[in-house]
Amino acid sequence: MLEAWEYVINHPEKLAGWTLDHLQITFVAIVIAVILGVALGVYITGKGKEHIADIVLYIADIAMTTPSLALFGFLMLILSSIGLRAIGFLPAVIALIIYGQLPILRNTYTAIREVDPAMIEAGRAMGMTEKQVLFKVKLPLAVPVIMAGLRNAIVLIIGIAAIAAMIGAGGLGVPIWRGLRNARMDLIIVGGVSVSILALLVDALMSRVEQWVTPKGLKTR
Amino acid sequence: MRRYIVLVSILTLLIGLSVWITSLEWIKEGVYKPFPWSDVLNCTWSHLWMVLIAESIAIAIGVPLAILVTRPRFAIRLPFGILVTLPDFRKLAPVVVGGANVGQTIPSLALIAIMAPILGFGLNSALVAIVIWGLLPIVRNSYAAINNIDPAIVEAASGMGMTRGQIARKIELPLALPIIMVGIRISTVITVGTTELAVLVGGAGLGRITLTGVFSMQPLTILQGTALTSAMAIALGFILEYIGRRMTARGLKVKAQMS
Amino acid sequence: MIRLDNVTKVYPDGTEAVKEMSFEVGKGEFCVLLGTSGCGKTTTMKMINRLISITGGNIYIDGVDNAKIDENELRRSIGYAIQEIGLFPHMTVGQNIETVPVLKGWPKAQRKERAEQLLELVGMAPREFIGKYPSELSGGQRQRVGVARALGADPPVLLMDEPFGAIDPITRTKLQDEFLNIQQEIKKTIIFVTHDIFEAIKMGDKIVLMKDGRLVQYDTPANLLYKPENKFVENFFGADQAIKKALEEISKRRQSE
Repeated sequence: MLEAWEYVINHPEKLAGWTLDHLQITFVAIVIAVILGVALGVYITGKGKEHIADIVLYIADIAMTTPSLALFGFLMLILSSIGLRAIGFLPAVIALIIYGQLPILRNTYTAIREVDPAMIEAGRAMGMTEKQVLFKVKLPLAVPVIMAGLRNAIVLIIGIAAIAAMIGAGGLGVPIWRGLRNARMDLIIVGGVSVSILALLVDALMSRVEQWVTPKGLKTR
Repeated sequence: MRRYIVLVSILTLLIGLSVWITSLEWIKEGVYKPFPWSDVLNCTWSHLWMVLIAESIAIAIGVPLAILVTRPRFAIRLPFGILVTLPDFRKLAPVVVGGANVGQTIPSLALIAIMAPILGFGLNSALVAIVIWGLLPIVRNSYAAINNIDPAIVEAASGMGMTRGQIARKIELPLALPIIMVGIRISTVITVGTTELAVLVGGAGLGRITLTGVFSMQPLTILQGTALTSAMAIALGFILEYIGRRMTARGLKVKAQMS
Repeated sequence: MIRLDNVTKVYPDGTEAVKEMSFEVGKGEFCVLLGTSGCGKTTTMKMINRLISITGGNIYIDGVDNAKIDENELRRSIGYAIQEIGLFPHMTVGQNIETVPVLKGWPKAQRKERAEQLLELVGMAPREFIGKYPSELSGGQRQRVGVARALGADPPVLLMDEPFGAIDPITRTKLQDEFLNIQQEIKKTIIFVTHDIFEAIKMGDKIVLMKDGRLVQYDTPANLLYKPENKFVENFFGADQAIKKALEEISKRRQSE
């Protein structure tokens, strides 16, 4: 414990660098994951897409079951076989995007499906187009649930980003892996503790954001 | 039906992939040096054992713990006619459930890695780490399952003269079981994945193959291990989902179909 | 049959839910506890089978203080029906009805016979319904099963908490009529909680009108309508002339029957 503390005192710039790297890769992945997840989630709630939805969600479930190391393995193989770099930022970000969008996709789908049909009908009855119904009724009502998915996704991504350090993604996983390979306990503790704190902090922050973006009328319940 | 097709094709693909990579072994001049059959089988076997042991421990701790924190003050009769009155454990519920939530937020790699400085390298510290991570979904789901039972149903049972034990056995348990099983399924699937990482602190299993591949940057070796790990996770998840469905009382299923 | 003597319920936080309630219900009488929500009527009812503990006074059933009876024995000897949600979703209609007989250790053949008999009584074909699950029934059918379940072990006393509360008015009227017919046949002592004035006048031999945890007037429906003891009772039943007319109509019809 003490050595870990000494390490932090002696090399604060290293810890800061890892943390920044970690946040950066998480951020890039989550932004793309949100866009893809929400778009796909909305798309499969459309009329006549029940079969597609069924399959997409099932595949998403299976992908969720896939251990993260496995996903990295697949990606490395695929990327190297199409001639791209199999190590570093790119495969890591792709893996994180895949993982991150699953909770978002599922929550978006469920939330929109569960909007009270009476409200959708009310929207149509007032002359809203399908698009307006989506943006003015369905999505705002689905926001709290989507946000819960987003929160899950972020915490998940922070954790998996630590694993992604092994394929050269950088971040707080670096000291953990280095420590495990060289039996440097101080490095293991520095990495493990800081990534845990980061995850807990971001989770707490997201729970605030969740409250903040929930439409006022939905909160009183 | 469509789901079965997807499932079977994915499983076939994964297992086939691993078998194919392993069979590359006899091309000796190749760049890749995959693990031999005996290693692959051994690792699969020990991986499965790690998962089963860890999961059994997690269930044995998690389910009773979750049940306990939903119980108000109650007395239990021990052998030899000793009567013990237990305090109201519901006060501990926020601590247990909150703890489970915080625990789930901690990245698996961090939890596993930190076991090394605390417990040293070895099978035990690997097991401790994966049990802790596997415990959380079980506690959370079991607690929610029991806590979300409609109080009107419990009151009706009590109003008809069922004792506390009868309510627990005949009403609460059958109603909560499907969701407890979901928790166990999620936990098992997660455990298959964390077991792969647990090799880092001295565990056994397919992680040995995967991580060798990782450290030597050989995608094929990584795949040799991970394809089987994924297949195991998917297969166990499917089996547990099936068991869960079988354990769901028929009256609850009818409802699920209608809604 | 059932006598409440100065019954009081004070919750640990100091709220007085029920204050010094005293009244007596005779054998075979249909007694309605009536009042707005939060007036303590459900609390009063639940103290009879001790789902809620009493904090002052006594309740006697057949002359025996209910505090002196084992609570599970007590509850098994009192039928209990609540809104449809109280049916056990994981049990069939038959298993639901047999709950108390099972608890009492009746032999299997007798239980089955009883369940069929009760389904017949509430107007549901036993062969069709005995194996169904609550989720396969309509709201009205669930209420019927609820009533049948309460009658499971043929208890002399029946407690009913808005048993017809959650269904549409037409089915509701039908169930009320049917239940009155059943009562003609089975002659149970019934405590019936409702906030529906029409239901109270229609169903009750006697009505306990409650306000803020106190008994305001305990009387026959006719007397409550024509001889209100105070302004509150008068307003409760007759604030609106049209309502009063309708109530009087129901009351007259009952007397002529």
